[in-house]
Amino acid sequence: MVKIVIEPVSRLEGEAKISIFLNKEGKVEDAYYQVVEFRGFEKFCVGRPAEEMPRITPRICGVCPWPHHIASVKAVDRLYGRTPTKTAETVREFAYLSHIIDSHSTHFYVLAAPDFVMGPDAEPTERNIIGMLRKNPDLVKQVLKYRHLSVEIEKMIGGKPIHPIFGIPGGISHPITPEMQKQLKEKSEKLVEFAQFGLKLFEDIILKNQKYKDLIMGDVYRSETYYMGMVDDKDQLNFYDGKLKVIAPDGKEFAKFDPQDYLEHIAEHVEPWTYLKFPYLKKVGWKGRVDGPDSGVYRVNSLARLNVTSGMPTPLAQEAYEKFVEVMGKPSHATLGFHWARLIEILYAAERMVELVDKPEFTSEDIVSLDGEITGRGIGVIEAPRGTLIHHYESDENGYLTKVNLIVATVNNNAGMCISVRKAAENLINGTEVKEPILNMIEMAFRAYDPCLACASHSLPGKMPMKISIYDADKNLVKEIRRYGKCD
Amino acid sequence: MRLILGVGNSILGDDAAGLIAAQRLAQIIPKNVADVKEFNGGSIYLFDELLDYDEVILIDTLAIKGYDEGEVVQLDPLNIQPQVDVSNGHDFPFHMMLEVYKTTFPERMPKKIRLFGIVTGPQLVFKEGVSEKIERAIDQVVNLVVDHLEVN
Repeated sequence: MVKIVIEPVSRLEGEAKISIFLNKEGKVEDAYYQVVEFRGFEKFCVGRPAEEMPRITPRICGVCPWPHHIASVKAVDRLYGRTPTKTAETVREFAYLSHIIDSHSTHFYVLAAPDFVMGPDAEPTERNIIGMLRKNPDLVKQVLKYRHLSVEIEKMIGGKPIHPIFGIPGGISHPITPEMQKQLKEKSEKLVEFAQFGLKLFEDIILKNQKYKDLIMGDVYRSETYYMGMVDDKDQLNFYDGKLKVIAPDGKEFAKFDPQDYLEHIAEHVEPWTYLKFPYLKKVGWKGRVDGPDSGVYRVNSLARLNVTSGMPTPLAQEAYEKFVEVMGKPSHATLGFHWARLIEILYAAERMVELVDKPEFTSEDIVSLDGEITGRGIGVIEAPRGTLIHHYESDENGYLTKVNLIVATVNNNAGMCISVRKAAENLINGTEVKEPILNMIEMAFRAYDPCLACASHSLPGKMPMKISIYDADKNLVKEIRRYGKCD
Repeated sequence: MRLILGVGNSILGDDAAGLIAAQRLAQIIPKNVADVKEFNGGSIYLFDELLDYDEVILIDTLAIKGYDEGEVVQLDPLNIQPQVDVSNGHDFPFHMMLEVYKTTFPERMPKKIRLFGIVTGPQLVFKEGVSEKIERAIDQVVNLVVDHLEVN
């Protein structure tokens, strides 16, 4: 049997490797996506006051702290038995949506777009943001300047650009002044323009290119799984609050439940070869890293959200969603569809921000409710950019943590990523002569999920080296490509 | 205007060194000499923090082959060849983002950047506090930064 290892995966934070095993005919026999670090973050938290969690959990990752802050503060709301004020909920959602835009746009323009703007078979030294900057400097400059608006909003509200300190049990730490509101509204309106710009770019560069369209729609990147995402009371997308909805591979609703009941629906399978667990749907069961209706594997993130929603709550995003469904079908099983779905979600987020900033409670000083008793249990669930994020805390009667469990978006997608990598490898590899563009195309299957391995393994922020190794049928190493993170 | 930016993660052992150095410098550097801030995040956010300053002093931990833990290394990032072949997470290598920001915000990027790096080993476990070696290195960096400011 031949083994191919991609370790760790480039452009992804944390550490991981992808191992691909070939048989004697040079065909892919199996593929593994493994996370090779473990840091025991949950254990680190036990014994601490629960109120510290919204400030501690963002430090898991230097890139996506906001989802942890928001999920954490929702969990401590419940643990302290406090119901946040309307103003707190509105401002939290507004600020968080700005992070959605920041995160999605960073992933699409800096990490995903080089594969399409430069081409998936371009030299690695060119297939990155620097290559794009050389090829189309105005595009990169425009994107960074627009994206900067979302960072400014995060900073204005969160106190810091990346590690917010404004969510507290039952509310937020400061009100929004009318002057701030004016600035936030102006920036939000510009972000709507940014979102429209992105969708136009996607159409021009990708949808109008038949080669790319075929790539997105083809079998290389297709996995037929269940999907999970959050919906509001109208069965439409919501990032901040709502119920979790699951659809089956045929698109029919499979379950809809209160996030507080997640343990009734989701279980976690453990494999000895990876530190990442494999969440699956309890009522279907774990059948291994396979797709189809008999396998409890589900996927989350942008494509999943657009698959489960009955529509988008804002008008321009709804138009974009209808076009997406027309082209991709519903549900769409095209893994590269995550990218397009992200751009539609950026538009929704920006439109929703424009709605929220005008709400009368936005500048109210009723920012926190201190009423409530410690319940000893708090579960906070949101849609992170990368999918459903669950923070589950338990405490003693004084609010000191006795148990912490995080199921992060990347972990929810663990089995899905394994399946996608294997399918891409099966379709792209034939023999042991595997060239770099083919390995990049396998990585594209993985990269579409925008996985955060720092969050998933709670591992080292800011470091993500990459190794690709290929083994023959006798497990001999026949090819290896390495890329390094900042430590080397 | 000058910025002193301590970079690190306060719950990742020795990785907190840059933050601790910044906290100490904030106690002794007059506000009219430099802004002193702490930062914990990826490069794409880091460069947003540097905009509109004339000079930036970065203090961070580094893992460099051939150096021992606790050694202090001074670098001029503006004069290091970009390593454009390196990709990193949904974060990005320092030099890649430096080039992007120099091109995108040429008027707003600092003209001088000095990096004081404290060499550490891999920090793989969440914990608070730094080792004795790193504690000594922090003191050394604080003195070096004060000297640097006096000379410049």
